[in-house]
Amino acid sequence: MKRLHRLWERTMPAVLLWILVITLVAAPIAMAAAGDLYYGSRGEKVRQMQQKLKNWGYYNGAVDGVYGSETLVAVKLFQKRNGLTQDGIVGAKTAAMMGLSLTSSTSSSSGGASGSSQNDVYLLAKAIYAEARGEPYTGQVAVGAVILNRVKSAKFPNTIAGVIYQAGAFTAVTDGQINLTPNDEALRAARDALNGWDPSGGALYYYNPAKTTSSWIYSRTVITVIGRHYFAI
Amino acid sequence: MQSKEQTQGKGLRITLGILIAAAVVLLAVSIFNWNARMQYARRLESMVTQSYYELVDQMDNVYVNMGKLMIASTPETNITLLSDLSRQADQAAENLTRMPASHPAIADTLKFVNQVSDFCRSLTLQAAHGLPLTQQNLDTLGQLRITCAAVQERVNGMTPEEVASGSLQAQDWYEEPLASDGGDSTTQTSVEYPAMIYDGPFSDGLEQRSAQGLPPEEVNAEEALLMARSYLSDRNLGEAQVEPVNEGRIPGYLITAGEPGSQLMVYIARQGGKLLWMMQETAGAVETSLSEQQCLDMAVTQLGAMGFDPVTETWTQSYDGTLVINFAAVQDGTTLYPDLIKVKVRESDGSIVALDATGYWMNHTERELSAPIISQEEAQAVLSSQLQVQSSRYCVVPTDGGDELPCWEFRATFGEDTYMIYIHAMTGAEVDIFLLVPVEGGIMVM
Repeated sequence: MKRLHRLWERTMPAVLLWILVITLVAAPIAMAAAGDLYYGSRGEKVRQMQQKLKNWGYYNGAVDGVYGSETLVAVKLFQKRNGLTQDGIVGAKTAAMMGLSLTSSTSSSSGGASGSSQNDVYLLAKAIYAEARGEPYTGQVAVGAVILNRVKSAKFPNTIAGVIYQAGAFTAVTDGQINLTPNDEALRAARDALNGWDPSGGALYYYNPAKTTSSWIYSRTVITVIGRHYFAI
Repeated sequence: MQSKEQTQGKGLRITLGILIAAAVVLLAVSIFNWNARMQYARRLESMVTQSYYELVDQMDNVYVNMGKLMIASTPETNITLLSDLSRQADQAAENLTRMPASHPAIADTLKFVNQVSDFCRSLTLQAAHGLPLTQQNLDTLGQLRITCAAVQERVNGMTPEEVASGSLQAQDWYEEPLASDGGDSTTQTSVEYPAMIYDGPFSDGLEQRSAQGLPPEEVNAEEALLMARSYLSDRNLGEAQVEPVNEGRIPGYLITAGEPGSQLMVYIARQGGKLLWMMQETAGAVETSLSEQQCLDMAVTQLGAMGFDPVTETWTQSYDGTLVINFAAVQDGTTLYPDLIKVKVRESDGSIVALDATGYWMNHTERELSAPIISQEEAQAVLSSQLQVQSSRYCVVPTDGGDELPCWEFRATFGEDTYMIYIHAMTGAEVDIFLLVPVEGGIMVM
């Protein structure tokens, strides 16, 4: 009996810790809304978040798309510093503070303009913003022009939406960045591209050699380089 | 002692109870999530599978209709078959783009199907104008049908599971044979079809077009920079960077000047050192002190100074403190719509911040304009009696396939709507109708 007592005394903290951990992990998970990121989440969004946290110095671990304990610590620190509830769940508020898009629902802040052409401007601007923000203005117009060149090409879908959402065509669609709200610069670039400006020289492809792993894309003939993007045909 | 043990036993049971409860909650949440995941996966899979089965049907229909077309003998049957063919092929192309396949895997199949649809649409128009299918048309259709059979066979040979998994490669679909290399094992089973030159946007002829308006003599990088400086005399190009561009539609030199944020890019064509396009980074200017007419006048003056032939404005759009003006070249009072110059003018000082003369240099030549056979009055008589004609002019309009047609242009209203209608000046055919849709800051031509 004494031995059992001692065993119990020794295991008690461990058991309680376990209960604590499970409650801490399971309860928030049960509460978390679809699309939220939490301990155990995986995927592209986690990767984006880790990259952001790393850039801001909250996180030192690997950017691997796995929400582990190090990520949890970083997220809580981020929440603490930004006056958010430190629950380790990246929900709407925390995501907004990080500039991260969680849901795949399309935002409708297009300024209320009607007509398919205005939709085209907005959709193209979303793609430009997601794919080329931070690039020189001309480079952003060129990305829009590549999308429109694809619409005109028989080898690609025949609508702007078809081209942008073609399976695997743009990483921004795969990782959900396409749903970020475009800024004025992207909207301007979209209008210029739709009005016919094409700094890409008729390109059908573009890639950033520092980020591209596809060997196929290197077989394409490069026309011009603007910013970090190689424009190819 | 006894009671202490009992208490301990009770504590253990409670702890175990909590543990089990926690495990059950965790399990329930996992099962719920897994179920939701499977539901999404199945929904996605059924969408792909639906597209796949539709694609199979549409390819079958294209093949069958092509066969019927070979022996159809009346214009009515031809038009019915051709328009159905064009629609089926168009839908097949749409379903093809819904496959979870990479672009290189389906590109050639997509091009084939798109060209079939496009070619049949141009033949529908031809038939609608009362022209029968020529022997050459029939030969092309015959060759397309052989390729169609090959594509059909590939598509039929797939399983929905293979398609949904997205693992199919180019050789599983249909791959165009490599031009001259030969011996590539992946292309041995491919079937060739002829280059498709016809009047449609996917005509192979469009890719092979060269810039008609550019003089043959070439300039080097230094001369290009000098040309850029003379084009933009009022602007300081400073320490400009010149990059040669040897590929693409029109080879030339890309000249970059200025700091990021106010960067200026100028493209000078290698042939003749002509200005193809320019673009200055402009943060959204809000000041609009000039009127539209003042902006137009200043743009025309600047274009003249740059050495462009006389132009007339076609439509404008205003946004972000800038006015985008579309100009077309004019020859003896005839508007040449293919020879387009787009100009973006700052509405605060009237200076050109962006310009695109690709259309102009691709097409601008001295045209042999023959006198119209159909007079303006005769053309106007063709128009719907519902229309109130406001103005008209003689012009040359481009077709999808890169041809040009002499036309009478009428601007007319019906109810609240304004239309542009184009009547062929030689045959009296109604070539095109555009609806002018008012949008914020201008008019959209649709």
